[in-house]
Amino acid sequence: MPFELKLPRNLKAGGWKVKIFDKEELEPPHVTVLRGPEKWRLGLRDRRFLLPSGGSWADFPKILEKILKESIPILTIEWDRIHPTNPVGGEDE
Amino acid sequence: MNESVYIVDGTPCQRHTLTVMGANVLASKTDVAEAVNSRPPANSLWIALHEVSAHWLAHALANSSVPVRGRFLAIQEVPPELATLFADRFDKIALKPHSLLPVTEILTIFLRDDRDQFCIGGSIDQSAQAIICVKGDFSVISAPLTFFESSAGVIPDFNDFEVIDHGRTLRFGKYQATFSVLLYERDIRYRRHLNRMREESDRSFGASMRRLRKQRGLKLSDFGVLEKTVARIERGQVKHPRKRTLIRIAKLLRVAPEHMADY
Repeated sequence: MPFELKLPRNLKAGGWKVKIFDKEELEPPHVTVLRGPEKWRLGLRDRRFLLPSGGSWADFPKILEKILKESIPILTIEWDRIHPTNPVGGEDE
Repeated sequence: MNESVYIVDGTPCQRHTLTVMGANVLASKTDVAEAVNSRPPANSLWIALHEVSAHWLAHALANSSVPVRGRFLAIQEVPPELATLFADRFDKIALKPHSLLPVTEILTIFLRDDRDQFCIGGSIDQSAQAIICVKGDFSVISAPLTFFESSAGVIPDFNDFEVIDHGRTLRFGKYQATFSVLLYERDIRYRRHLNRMREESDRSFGASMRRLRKQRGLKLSDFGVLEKTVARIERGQVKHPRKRTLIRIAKLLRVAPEHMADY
């Protein structure tokens, strides 16, 4: 089952979603942020935005940035639960 | 918009939204005939929302001598004889996949440059044990169902399939996969595009060395040092290569060792 981070009502109403999927590309652990057709992937090891979408914190509302940064520990636990063979604490490819 | 979109028979509440989004909403048989005869651009998208809309379009196509090309999507089932006509007249067609995004989302995706990275709809063929997805550019991508192995004890339920998140996610019961994982596995063009982007953005010493080596047309075995060693340096697995090794490699790459990372 994917993990979906609970977001405040205003972000949810704005179409924001934060997910860790059951099936992902084999690459650095990350969390996917979705809004409509837009997609960002935030690396959980180095907090960098992964390709192909790239992006930056400036793309998000301040409150979402704060929530994401504060949620890194829980996102890390959830990533490791869903993808135990590619843990956040493991080595980069 | 660069592409023309023709929606045949929108419901009144949808008509306004779709028109605002730039689509041509054809609400009668006459509208459809006029649009078909107006020499629509070859990269048009035609969407028939109901079975009767498909009949209107088929009638217009059959009675027109103007060639109509582009892509066609039927939201509802269409009779086989009409399907044959549409397949003949359009470049690409998609006929009522099991799961389909809302029309407004399809329209949003179709108007994007990266539409080939979205799934607008898909079907599960249980007898073939395969998933067939229609991308935003109307090309098709398929994979065996075994591609979606269970994850953390969750088994994908292929009887409960849905395309969600504006075509970014494939849902099978409680299991969710990104559409991009399917693209990466089954679409060589997407894989090449992504790898090129990664390579260009990778400013590590190893990546620079790999780019430079490729530019010079050299093989891993051309350096007079162990092939494995060169490969490990390029992958960034050797944090501090020996000075002697670097000088030898740099000489063959025809650059000063200190400039190798600039490439």
